Amino acid sequence: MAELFERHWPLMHRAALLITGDAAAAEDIAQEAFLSAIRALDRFDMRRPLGPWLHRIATNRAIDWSRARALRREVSDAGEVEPAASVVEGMDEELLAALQTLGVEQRAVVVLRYVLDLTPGEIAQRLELPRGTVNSRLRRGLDALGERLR
Amino acid sequence: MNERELERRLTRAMHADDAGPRARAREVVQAAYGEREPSRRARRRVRPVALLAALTLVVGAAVAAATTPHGGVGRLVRDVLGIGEPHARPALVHVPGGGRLLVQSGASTWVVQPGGARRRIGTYDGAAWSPRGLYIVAWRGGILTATEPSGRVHWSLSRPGRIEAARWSPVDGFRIAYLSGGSLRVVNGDGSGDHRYGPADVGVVPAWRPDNAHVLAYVDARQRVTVAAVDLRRRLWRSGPIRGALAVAWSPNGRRLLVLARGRAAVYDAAGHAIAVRRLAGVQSGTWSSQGSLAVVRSRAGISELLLLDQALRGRVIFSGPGRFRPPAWAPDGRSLLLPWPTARQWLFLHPQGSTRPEAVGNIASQFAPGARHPAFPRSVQRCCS
Repeated sequence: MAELFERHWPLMHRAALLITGDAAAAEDIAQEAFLSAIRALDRFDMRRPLGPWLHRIATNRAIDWSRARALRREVSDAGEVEPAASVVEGMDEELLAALQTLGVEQRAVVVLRYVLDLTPGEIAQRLELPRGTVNSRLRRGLDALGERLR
Repeated sequence: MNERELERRLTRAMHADDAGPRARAREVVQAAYGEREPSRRARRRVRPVALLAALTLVVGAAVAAATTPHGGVGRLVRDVLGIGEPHARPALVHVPGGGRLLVQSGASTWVVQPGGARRRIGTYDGAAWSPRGLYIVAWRGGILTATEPSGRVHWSLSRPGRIEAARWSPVDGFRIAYLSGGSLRVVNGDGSGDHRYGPADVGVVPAWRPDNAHVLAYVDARQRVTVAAVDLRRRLWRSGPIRGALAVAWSPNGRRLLVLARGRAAVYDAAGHAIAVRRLAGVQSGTWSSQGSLAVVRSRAGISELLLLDQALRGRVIFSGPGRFRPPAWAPDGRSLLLPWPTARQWLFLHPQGSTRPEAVGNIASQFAPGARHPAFPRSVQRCCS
């Protein structure tokens, strides 16, 4: 387990961070993804590689978290307001900020492609989207990032 | 920016420092994996305290069964016996009953997610959730702080006197009441408008009525329970002096106020009339669930009991054990409660109304004091929305 953790944690954590843009949420998501995987380990077909399964759990949770956050923005004049995103020390904040300007679906596609190194076909399968949609989201995401980071 | 440049930049972002999160996660994940494969040796080990607990529970069951012949207590206690300490989970890898936990252990405050992930948010003497769990109000010495559950500080204020307790107003979260220097003080949820409301007993935590009218129950400096609309600075009612006041707690509909004092409990209606009074030797704490169930803890002659009472303060013992219990905390749905049991170094998750088996989680102290040689059992635990 220690070896698995060291091998997969960095990628899971980083993918969650880039999708959510929130260090605290990313830490919780990556940690909970591991816990959830441990609970489901008995049902997992051990002939298959663990990495993609772990990454899928983490990215799905990060996408769900980002969608939920977008839906439940709470603003009041004196009471609770939605906490600001927290970032990791040493992180490329400009890149993180640029990613956050994309919609969560676009962001997820970019992270799956360039962080988890999935092909457009694999992303389409993972997100249950037509491959054309994945390609167009990737293209638009890259264009938007290019504008922001120029 | 072309694809290659973006890829390079995303890869560089991979090298950001994540040592802290990684170390925290490693510890939690290893504990969870350890629980999945408990060693045979650990399964066979029966500690003396477990035997003592088992014996006491048999006594407790007999007492409970004698007092409540139709309460189903015997079954519950037998269930608890079945999962006594030898069968406790060695680590908290999810929160039975759901919701998040806010745990005070020594000078550390921790947040536990429903899935078991936990994070130390800082060094504080105590802390409480905001109504929707978006923030935490925490205090240490004379500093009151609003933080996010990530630990990021949102605002702080300082007082010359030591801060004893703070509570965020329900529903809108627009006010925070806290005790400092022998006074009740109120500050807005955004840290503005801090002011003294009046003299107060600093031993009793104030309780907001569960609506958005900013009505607060507290015990004043002359030991009188006072209910006041703090925005209007208007007192709604006040009791006579109550010697040894310990706690005040509103029912979920805001129509009843439980007042615990040394050796007795009372329930008041909205107008301040006592509608039920009961002698309750050794009573220590009480809390209402979101469904209106009232759980009370008392301790006598080295045995503690958890009682489930109705608004007339009639009810039954649902669990008893040696040593002391800490104040219980209901799950957000009001169907189960967490009972901290320092003597057994366990948290018990009980389902007083249902048939679900209780769950016990052991090694609680060490989970909230990693690396400590003699970790102290957490002082308090509060639950919040998922």
